[in-house]
Amino acid sequence: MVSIAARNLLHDRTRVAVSAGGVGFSIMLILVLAGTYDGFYRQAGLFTENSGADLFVGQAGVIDTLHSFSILPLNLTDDVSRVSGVERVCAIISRTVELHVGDSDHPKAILVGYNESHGTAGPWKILEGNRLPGPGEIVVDQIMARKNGLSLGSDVRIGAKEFRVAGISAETNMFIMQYAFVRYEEIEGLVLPPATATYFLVTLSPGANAGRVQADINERFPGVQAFTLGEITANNRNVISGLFLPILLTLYLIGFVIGITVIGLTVYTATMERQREYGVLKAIGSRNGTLARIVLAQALLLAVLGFVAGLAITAATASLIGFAVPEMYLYFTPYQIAFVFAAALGMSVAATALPLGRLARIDPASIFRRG
Amino acid sequence: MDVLTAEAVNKVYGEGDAEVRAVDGVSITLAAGEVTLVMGPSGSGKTTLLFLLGGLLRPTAGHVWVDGHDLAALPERKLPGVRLRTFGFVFQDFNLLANLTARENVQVPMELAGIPVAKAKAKARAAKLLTRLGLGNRLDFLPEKLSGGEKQRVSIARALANRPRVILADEPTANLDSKLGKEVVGLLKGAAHEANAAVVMVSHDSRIVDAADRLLLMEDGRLVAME
Repeated sequence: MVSIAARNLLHDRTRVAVSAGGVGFSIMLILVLAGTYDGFYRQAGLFTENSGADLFVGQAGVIDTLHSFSILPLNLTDDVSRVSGVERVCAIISRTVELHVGDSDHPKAILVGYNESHGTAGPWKILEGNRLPGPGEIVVDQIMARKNGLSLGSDVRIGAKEFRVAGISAETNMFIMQYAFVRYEEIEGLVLPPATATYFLVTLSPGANAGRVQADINERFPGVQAFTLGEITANNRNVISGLFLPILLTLYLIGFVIGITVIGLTVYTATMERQREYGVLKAIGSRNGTLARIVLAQALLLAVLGFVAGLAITAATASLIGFAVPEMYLYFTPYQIAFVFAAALGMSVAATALPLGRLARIDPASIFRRG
Repeated sequence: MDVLTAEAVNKVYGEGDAEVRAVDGVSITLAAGEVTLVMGPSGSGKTTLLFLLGGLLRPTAGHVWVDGHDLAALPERKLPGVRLRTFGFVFQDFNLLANLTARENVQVPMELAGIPVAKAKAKARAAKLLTRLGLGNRLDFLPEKLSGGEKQRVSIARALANRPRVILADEPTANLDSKLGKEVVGLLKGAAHEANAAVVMVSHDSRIVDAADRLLLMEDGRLVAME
């Protein structure tokens, strides 16, 4: 069959570019909002997921690492270490602090003080320099480095203490703040009272049952609460979900509805402007089913073109956002992209329902009358 | 050989005082290769008669027999197939598909009919028909690049594509000048004779009377004269 659908759609290049662009921008709107949603959600769990620990132990009542403040006596480390199934306990400090960069910049960072010999809670992806900061050294996130003109060898002050940038990390951005990493002993007593820690990161002995060890810790030490890695990560993400993801989700859903509606209207318009030609086909003997196939093919083709355009626009937009607002982390998953593609196809098909109904009712005799 | 017979065909719109008898008791037989011209004043029912003969409208009463089928009694779902295989249509406004080339416009009815041959064969037949109508050098032109006469010739080629038994033409010369109008009707007549198809033309154009084998005059929905 001569591809009437493709010809109808592709004949006027400008028009198809405008239509595909309209669909594409809708796809971009949906994907950027979805990417922002998923980006925030993912970021909320990156630190705990990459901590390398099996259990997270915090002060009783503290159920996440984001907005709850935990403080634990350091001497409890030894007690927890003696729990059966515990191989090692690493005390860490995690506090939001103000970094002093030069004379005027005071970016906030989530400062993590960790014991480098335990191999837990450090930066998990290094772009430049050292993964493990030495004495007087700090690893900062790439976004913080870029925004504040930091590079390897730059000086950063926390309180009265000077640090030299020894590494630049990636994936350590957390919405509007970024993680920074120093040795535990460098900030002990600086951001917390002496001989205290924020969390204990527990590594289990081979074969130990995480649930049993967690229960033992909770039972033996009433002042603390232990979580598995999955639990603490989920708690962090729930905090984000509960705080502002509902707002973002609402925007996402609005964007989705707008985007999908634009796709529908574009397909509807493209179909209806060819109404007379469909009438001609009907007059010469085309069945309604054949017309439906042509209209559907046209709609799906437009959706595919629009989707491809949308991916390109999204990539360009994501680059622009990454350049202008590096803290805004967009995270795209194949599932999410496939879902938007399926939604675009589905809406395109749904958008043909109305025109198909009208085409089915076209009186083929009407085509004989002067158009 | 008769290819279509209409028996006492009526088409009535409205009821009571508002009743309009657009076609009133028309009986007509069309023979293969014969060109019939239907003339009459506006509103005389000639276009409605064309619709009734072509299965585009159902008569209120009467029968339209073609290929052993009574179009008046045929289920709605079967009418498109009959129109596609039995009739060829030539429109006043040409009604070519704007985004298809001349050749592709002619291929469309063949492909709609599901001619069980390779696309190449439909393409070759379309080219042959267009060449026969003098458009051999316009095969890949879009309608917008064709003159009015050329568009109508493409329309005739499209009407002939499925080797129809009957070609129905509504004011085929209305948008053409006198010379082109005669030329197009001549081509239509020649092609119909060659294909052994009956042709029914509805027209106001008295200049094409000479091309017709038979002239029917309509008035108030009735056939008032046959020549």
